Amino acid sequence: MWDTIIVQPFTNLLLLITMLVKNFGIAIILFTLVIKLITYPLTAKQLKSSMAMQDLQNDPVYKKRMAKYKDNREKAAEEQMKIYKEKGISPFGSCLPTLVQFPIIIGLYQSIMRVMASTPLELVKLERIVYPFLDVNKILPIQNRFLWMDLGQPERLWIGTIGIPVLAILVLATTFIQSKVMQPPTQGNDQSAAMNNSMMMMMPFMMGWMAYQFSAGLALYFLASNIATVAQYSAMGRVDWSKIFPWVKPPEQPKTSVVLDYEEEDEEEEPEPVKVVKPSARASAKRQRPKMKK
Amino acid sequence: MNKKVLRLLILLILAGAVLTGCAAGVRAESTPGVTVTDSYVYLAYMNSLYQLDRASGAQLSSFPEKASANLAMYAPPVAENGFVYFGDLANDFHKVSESNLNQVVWTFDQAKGWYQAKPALDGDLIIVPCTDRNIYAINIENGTQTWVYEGEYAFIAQPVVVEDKIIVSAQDHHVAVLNGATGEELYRVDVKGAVLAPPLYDPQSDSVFVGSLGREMVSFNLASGDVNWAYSTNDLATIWATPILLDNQLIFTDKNGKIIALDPESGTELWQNNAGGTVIAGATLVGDKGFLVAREDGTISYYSSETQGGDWTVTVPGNIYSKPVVDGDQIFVPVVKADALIYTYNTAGVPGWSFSPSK
Repeated sequence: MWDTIIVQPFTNLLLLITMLVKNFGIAIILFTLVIKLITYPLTAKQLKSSMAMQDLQNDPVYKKRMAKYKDNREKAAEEQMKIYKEKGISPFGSCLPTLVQFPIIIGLYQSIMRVMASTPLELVKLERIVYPFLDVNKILPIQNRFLWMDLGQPERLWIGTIGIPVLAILVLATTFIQSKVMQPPTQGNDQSAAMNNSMMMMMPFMMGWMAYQFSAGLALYFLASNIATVAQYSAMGRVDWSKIFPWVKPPEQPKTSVVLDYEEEDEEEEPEPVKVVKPSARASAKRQRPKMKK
Repeated sequence: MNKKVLRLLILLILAGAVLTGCAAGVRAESTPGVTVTDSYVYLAYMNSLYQLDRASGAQLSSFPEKASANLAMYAPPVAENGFVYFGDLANDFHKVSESNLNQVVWTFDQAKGWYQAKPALDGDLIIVPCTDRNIYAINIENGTQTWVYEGEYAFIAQPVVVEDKIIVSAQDHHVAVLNGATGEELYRVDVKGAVLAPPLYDPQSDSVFVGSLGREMVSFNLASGDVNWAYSTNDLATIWATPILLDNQLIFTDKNGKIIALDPESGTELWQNNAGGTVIAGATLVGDKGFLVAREDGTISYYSSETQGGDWTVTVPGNIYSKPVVDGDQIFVPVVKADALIYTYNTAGVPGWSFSPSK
């Protein structure tokens, strides 16, 4: 079932691209881009939803409502759902597209592994899932060589006897850049900010380690996918390059996409705007001056 | 560090360990590699090379002493003059002592790919096909490389040594003939598809027979490289295994189970039969009177050259993708997806021992 719906079409698409471009490395890159394009509506929906959620989290009225019920979790959740409903925000709107994309990513990985068949047994299995309109005899063998890499083996650029894992380094770097530039702004003391930071530190190393261990074909897919994702988000204006390159001007924060136009129930609880009074230079100097003992 | 962050970190570390554990382990799926000598049966599968007693199937030894998830091997070894030669999936090729598999004489670690095919001995050289697109000729005394032949695709079939020549099956639609002393390519014969099995050499006619995924069987003269004939029909499927010669008939199977006999001189069809299922392992010669056809579904049928029909049939509880090994009156069948890795029969089809590694 899984093979028929996901792996087989993906494998055949990958083989078709390989046949057309006659280069497996380029085929993996094109295949990744095609899948990214196909899943673009899901990505856009996910981004839109997460933006709306993010904006709502920063909204003072929403914050006030949540603060009001901070000691009553049930009521707070109820109120939260009410606001979501009023504003047409689906709380699962951002994670559902992600969940839908999971089988696609796993299928993509499996199809790349299938196409890189390197034993008679794997070739038998590959031949079995090739659609009749693709002549397996014309497709096989797949040329695994791409630039200096053997896509069926873990990638190393050999300089004398030293093998440098260029692809793994690139995967690590692009995963870091991707997490950094796409990280949404969060409050400093926020728990989610701490989690995001941990993720941002761990993920690149994990991906880099996988790229180091797995065959180069898969590492190439990781790299192409990272670059495509950053490009996709960049095109949507959701990438902050100033987090990587300090000389780049940070983008203007997008205006709140959720207009909180609901009627306030408790007008008297409208929070007083906090008055920030800048102390005068003299006052400030006075405060810093040590008191002289008499 | 708060609890949530700690939990997340642990989760990530676990995920990393699981994923890299998979990656660091076996990178390919293949069938057990079997080699039979007078006293022993060698079985290379997953994390061990097993040495079994040929008569009883009892495990005598294994390499490495303690199986490791990071080391796997599938290529059938070569056992000769008290030594065993084999390659693994960690890109190393070893010579070990037959009396103690863990006594390593030398290890050749210059390859950048792993080993799938059985090597071949050629005097004081061992010819080793590798998935890094090279064929290495290694001196068996000291483990140093004498020459290397660079191809375009992974080599996954055993080379055939004929006097001063080496015949090599290549996946990129040809068979190459090399100078055994230097590794220099003398000539190549193009075929219509990938060649995944070793060719068959007939010393009487000095001819080489080779089938391919290009749905054809080709015969060429070894001395000149001239093609004698090519056999192909519209309903012929892909050919995955080496043909056999029996009673002056060239017999082979296609993937759809067709058993075809040709005149080895002219390539004209003599007769056809059908194994009744998918055949990857091809036909295996049994003495000089008959042959076996092992179907993918585990059905093994014996055909005598006289009757051309199934004289007896047995079924192993697994799938067969590689040729059974016939030595004397014993048949050794490597299987996958079964309780055991190898089943044995005598040439009358009576079951003998089977072997599954202790867990």
